[in-house]
Amino acid sequence: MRPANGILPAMRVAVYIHVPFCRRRCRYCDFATWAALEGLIPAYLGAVRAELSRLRQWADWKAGTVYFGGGTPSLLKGHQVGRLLAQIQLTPDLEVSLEANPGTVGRPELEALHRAGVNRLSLGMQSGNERELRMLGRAHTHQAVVDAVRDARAAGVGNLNLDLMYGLPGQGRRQWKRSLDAALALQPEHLSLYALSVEPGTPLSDDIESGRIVGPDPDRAADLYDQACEVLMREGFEHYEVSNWARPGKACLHNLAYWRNDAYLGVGAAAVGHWPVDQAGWRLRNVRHPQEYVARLQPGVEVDASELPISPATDEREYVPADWAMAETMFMGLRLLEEGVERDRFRRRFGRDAVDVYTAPLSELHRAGLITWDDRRLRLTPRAVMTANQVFEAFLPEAPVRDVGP
Amino acid sequence: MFAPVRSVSIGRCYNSGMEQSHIRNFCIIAHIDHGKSTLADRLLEATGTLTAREMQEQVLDTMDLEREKGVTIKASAVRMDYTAADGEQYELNLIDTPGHVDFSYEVSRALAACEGALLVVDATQGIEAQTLGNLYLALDAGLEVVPVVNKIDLDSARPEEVAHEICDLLGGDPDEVVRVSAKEGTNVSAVLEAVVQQVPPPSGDRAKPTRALIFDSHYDAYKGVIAYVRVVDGGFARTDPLRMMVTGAPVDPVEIGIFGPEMRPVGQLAAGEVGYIATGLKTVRECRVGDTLTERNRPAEAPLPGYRSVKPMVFAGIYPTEGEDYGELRDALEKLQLNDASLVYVPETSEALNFGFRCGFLGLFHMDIVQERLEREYDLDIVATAPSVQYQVALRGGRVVEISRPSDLPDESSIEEIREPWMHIQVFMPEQYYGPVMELVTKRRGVFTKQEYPAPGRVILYFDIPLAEIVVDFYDKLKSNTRGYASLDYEFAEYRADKLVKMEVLLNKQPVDALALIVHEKDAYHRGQALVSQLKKLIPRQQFEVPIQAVVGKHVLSRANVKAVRKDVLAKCYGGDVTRKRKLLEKQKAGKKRMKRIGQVSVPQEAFMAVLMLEDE
Ligand SMILES: Nc1nc2c(ncn2[C@@H]2O[C@H](COP(=O)(O)OP(=O)(O)OP(=O)(O)O)[C@@H](O)[C@H]2O)c(=O)[nH]1
Ligand code: SF4
Ligand SMILES: [Mg+2]
Repeated sequence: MRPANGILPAMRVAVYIHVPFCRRRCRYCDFATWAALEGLIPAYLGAVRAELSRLRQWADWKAGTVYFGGGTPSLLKGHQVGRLLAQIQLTPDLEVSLEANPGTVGRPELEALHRAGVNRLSLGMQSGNERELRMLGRAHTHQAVVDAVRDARAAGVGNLNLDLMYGLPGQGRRQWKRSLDAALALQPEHLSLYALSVEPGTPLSDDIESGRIVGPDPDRAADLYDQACEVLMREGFEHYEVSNWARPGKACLHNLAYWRNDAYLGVGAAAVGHWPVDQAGWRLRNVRHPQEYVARLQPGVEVDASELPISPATDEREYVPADWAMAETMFMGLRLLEEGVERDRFRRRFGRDAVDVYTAPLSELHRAGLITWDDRRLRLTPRAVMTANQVFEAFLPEAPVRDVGP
Repeated sequence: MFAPVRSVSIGRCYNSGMEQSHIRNFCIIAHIDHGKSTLADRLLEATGTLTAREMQEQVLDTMDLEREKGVTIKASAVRMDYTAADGEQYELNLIDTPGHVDFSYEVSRALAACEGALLVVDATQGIEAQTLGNLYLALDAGLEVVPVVNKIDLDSARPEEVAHEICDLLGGDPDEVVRVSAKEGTNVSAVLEAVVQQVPPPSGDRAKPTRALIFDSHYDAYKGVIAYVRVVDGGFARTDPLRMMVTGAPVDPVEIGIFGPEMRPVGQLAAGEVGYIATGLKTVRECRVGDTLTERNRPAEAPLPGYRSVKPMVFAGIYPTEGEDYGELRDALEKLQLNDASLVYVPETSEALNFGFRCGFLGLFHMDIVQERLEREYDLDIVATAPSVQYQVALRGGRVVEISRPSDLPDESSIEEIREPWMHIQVFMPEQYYGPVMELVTKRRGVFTKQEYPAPGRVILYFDIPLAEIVVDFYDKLKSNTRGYASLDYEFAEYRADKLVKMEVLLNKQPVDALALIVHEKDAYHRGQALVSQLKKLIPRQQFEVPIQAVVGKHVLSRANVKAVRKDVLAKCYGGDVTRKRKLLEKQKAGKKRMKRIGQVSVPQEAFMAVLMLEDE
């Protein structure tokens, strides 16, 4: 088959594999995940293999990174992960990340995952306080986190991320410091700090609406964010993205593909892929429910030849015209606080210099002290980081993007 | 009197239409909600004008806004064919009118097309303010008034008493007043019989040169301006060349017809009849409500009296949210004015809002409706400033200027005195609310003048009060203080001088002309406080702190700060789902687009109306 537009033979692409299963649902969670559906896992993995093999046939690509996200990918056994990875042309230096929930894996399981190729583990710690863990409906204690880290290290995982949440109801500077300290004590290479966002329809949002819990205060969250920036800088972490900190050289390569608005494949239920075609691009979205996903990938179902990495599970494709692709490149790229939007990279893709495309908004943002640039890159100023949406908005074109059917 | 000597010989005589002795033109008038439109429904049904399938509640209220609010805004005409008890065929032209006081101009225009009026009175509520207001309009217009007591099906109905109240006013025998339930259809045929027997037939001369009064109009993208006419003399066919007598514009009808109630083409319209003419005119200026259409070949001597021009009560600026929509707003206002003859507007500019229009309205409800129609029927995003009355400012040196925009008030040192419009108002209500109403009115600078007892247990209080004190929420307060039982009518009295001052609002230290207001000295302090705290609630947090101040001269009455946004950045992007992020940004941006940028500050539209939301105390 002819390589698709914009893809060079044996091009490296980021591969995201979604694992939509959890033991139980956390109170704040509105992600594409299902509890009590674990019985479906074997069939689901079969479908994922079928989708991967379809994508294999479609064009000649190599994985640049692999990321198992969820859900709870640590519900998978090492050999299951291994079989999936076998479908992907692995290269020796490849970053293979897997999200794990404390309490779902012990040392033997982690060893198996590591042997299968997982070399970066992202652990959902969320908080170092038992009361907060309970309020969030997390299915583990802090001790489980400590154990998981110990076991991961023992299993040989050299690259470890911890997810933490701030801006929780009732969380003050003291509680937050305790969580940060508890995380730092575990010596992770990487930290992701996410502000709690209360999503409608979740039990947490019901708790807040009914007054059982006092909702988070955005100003307090801003203070906690500032506090974390200080603490982590003192500890020698690089603040490389709005919500991500890493030891030098330990930034998550997979997520960089998102922030640089590069190509990535989304595999599995509800997974989203992005495929640039010349200056425009396509965003491809798979069916959401795992059962439907499995049904779509029954043997024998074929899809028409396409220049896009679509599979029978592709449910929506959205055309992103060049002006929108540029805007997305700006607002995703500016999240990278050090790297920013590289002018060369932008020019290679769009044939124009970002500074010329956005003359008016840039000069206004510059005057307001929110953005700076030099020959190589455009970046947010430190004071713009916390209110970056106000900056991002300036790049949106007028006409909205339209959705196209499957 | 001139009699055109040869008129009979050269004129055509329109005899093919219904004979005038068998035409009845009448409107339905009443206080708001007394059941005019519902009664019209029953008349349409009883005459077979609409089939059961075409029928719906208040079928003549065709505008979305009317249906949503359950209120008639536009008068609407409809022709019905009726075979009376005497066995004769009659052509009945009915015009349903609005009851809300802000639309009384609609009523007065409709009256000029009729010989009679059905005065509907709610059997529970009895006579209310606009029952009287509209009754006097009808009597002034020389109409035969036929009273109808409605809603007799309700337990609370007191048809006997109400019939007596009416006869105390109009004379006549209470026993002969028709009592109906428009809802249940009781006694509807008695109404039709009363119309036939009591409303005089039109008396125009079909042999005379044609004169047709334009009593309403609307714009149609295909047929141009559609003029609604009452033919007074003569008549015309589709092919007759016509002319507007006041503007002089020639009109070659594209179509003529009647309302059935939808527009239905006919071959000709003759004296006594009501219908429409699609003029084909694409510019709206040439066709004015109140003008008279005549034949070009045989013009009438003089136009019909037309209408008194309306005097707006309140004024407000209307601006496009996006400056580039100015032209569209202008066109929309022009077209809307065709269908709303009480709307007046002139261009104005504002430092804060750029180019827009100063519009005059008959009241706040009218203002509301105009805004909504501009947004819905013309798909515009607009910002309206707070309503203001018109002031007379006497300058040192003797000159007097009129201003309807507070920011136009000249420098204090050049002002001799500021005069504001005062109104005579009448409040109708049951006696037991005497105290609360007195208190409400006097708190707003009102002065009691007299009282009357039109019926046992009911009182009419007369006051003089500054218009500025009643435009905002007076009516709502009046209603809530009397459990809905009071009704209000008003008329202009005179201009009176008082201690009035201009209060300015500074946003981020800059005065915003669109937020200025004129207040009585003694109210300035608490109005300033209330306004600033309202604005603080309405103006969203921005990238920087925004101070808000209310000042009179150099005197700061109140201040508050809108804190800067601390945090506005999206969290994790799950599995690279950029779309979700982008949609959030789009939504945020669209929200801002609906706001007005004043200097660096984004101000939502509601902020300009903040004075309307001032809670008491
Ligand atoms: N019970 C009862 N309700 C009625 C009767 N006639 C009208 N109504 C109700 O009174 C309300 C007002 O009726 P409308 O016909 O809209 O009144 P209107 O006089 O046209 O009102 P405006 O045009 O807004 O002034 C509606 O809810 C009707 O259903 C009646 O005979 N009996
Ligand atoms: S573990 Fe993550 S994906 Fe699963 S329910 Fe909790 S928050 Fe949701
Ligand atoms: Mg009505």
